[in-house]
Amino acid sequence: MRTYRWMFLATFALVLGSIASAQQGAGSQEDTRAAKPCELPGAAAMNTPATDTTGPATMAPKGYVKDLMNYMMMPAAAGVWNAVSTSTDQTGVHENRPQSDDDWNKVIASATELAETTNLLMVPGRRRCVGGAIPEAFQTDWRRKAREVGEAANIALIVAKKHDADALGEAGERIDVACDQCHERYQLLDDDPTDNNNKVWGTWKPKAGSKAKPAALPKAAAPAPAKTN
Amino acid sequence: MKKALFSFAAATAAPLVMFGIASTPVAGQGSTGTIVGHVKYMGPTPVNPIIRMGADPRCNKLYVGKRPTSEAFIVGADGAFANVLVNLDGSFPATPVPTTPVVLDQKDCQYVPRVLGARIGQTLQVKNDDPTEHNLHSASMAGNDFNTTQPIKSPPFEFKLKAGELLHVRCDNHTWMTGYVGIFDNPYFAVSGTDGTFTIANVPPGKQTVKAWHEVMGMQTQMVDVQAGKTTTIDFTFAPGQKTASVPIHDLVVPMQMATALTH
Repeated sequence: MRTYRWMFLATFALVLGSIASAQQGAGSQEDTRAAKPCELPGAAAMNTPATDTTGPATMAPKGYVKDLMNYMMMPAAAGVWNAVSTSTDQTGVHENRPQSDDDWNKVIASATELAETTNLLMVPGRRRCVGGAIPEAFQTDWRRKAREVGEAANIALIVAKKHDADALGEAGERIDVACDQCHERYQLLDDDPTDNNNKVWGTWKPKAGSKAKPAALPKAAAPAPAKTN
Repeated sequence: MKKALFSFAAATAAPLVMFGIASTPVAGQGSTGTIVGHVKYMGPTPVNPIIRMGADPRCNKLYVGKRPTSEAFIVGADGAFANVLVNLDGSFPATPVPTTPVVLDQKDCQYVPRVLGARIGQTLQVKNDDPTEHNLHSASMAGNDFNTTQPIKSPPFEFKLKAGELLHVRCDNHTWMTGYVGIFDNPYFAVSGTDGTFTIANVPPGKQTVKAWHEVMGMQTQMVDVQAGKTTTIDFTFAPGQKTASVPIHDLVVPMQMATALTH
């Protein structure tokens, strides 16, 4: 009798495990908050505490872009993406949407974090783990791309406050596209020169013999037409 | 562990469903028969989750303008259900193990095929046809353990399969990548194609237990009577809410620093 009881319990546990596994695999984004940080040294500590009259009076970036991505932007974006999704398991197809006020508040929190983190990307002196700071010539483009993500996140925030799930799904897509467009130009890989072709290199250098080229400098803005009276 | 793997789940939870069985004579098969089958999915069209590959620009670049999805469910317009692993359960006379390897490819940052069958003692060959590094990691419960990095353009990884199980394979670098290798001590297995069909040839005559497993929908079991020189047909239908058995699959805890972390 005891043996049968154990067999029943084991089977029940396996069935539960299988269902849980299937559901987890359906559209969930990984938690990147445990990702390995950039191995470069962080910002130097201040010698003395800041006071009303001493210390930096401007924004001072501490983390690398990689760390902002993994610890803030990815989890926040996942909070928006996963809020409206479709999954299939043994019981059928499920449309996942925020249901309660608590559910919506979590989406609002994620969208707020994502929108505000894009401002952090634009803090002067922010560096990438690979490639270092964005060169001055590309700063306008970099900020524009960060703003694109920020505006997409802001749309998610606005519609989340209205509890509009359909619009939230569309905002999630816009976030995804904006992220990809920025990655295509500024996300460098240390080990593959060909992949870094036509990207903004900063301090990164290709291996000898590589035919890869960095992104061309942006064209200078056309001068404003002369005023005529 | 070997044969007991599929038997365990069937014996404990799977109701036997018998339907769609018929036999027709086939010339020239001698003392064995053939099982031909079709797997169908009935119900609302399943939706595969979107895979966001932005973490690895090399994978992302393979899908410019497209939205990659998991391939857990491949269902045709007529309900044809692909990637269902079908096998016979029981004791069979020993047969030679193929000397050719079974090939699992890493292509477009997914496993191709996603589900495949192999023999104990057969070589599993894993290729990397992607412009990125993969980390092949098995989650074995029976001694088929491997965990190896495959850089770009590296030679195929080969592993002699040691024991029977349903082996879960994953990539530590790309957590969305998942594949399954059914490892058996007999040659009587097949995976349903995109048309939902499968064929198991040279089957010993007599009553046979046929199992069909899908990674999400679980496992079904049917009995068929195989006759020498004849083809027996069998159909499996998976539907939401159906009672199916689960198969124990060992899952991996993937180190997060190797997962979807962004690199720049």
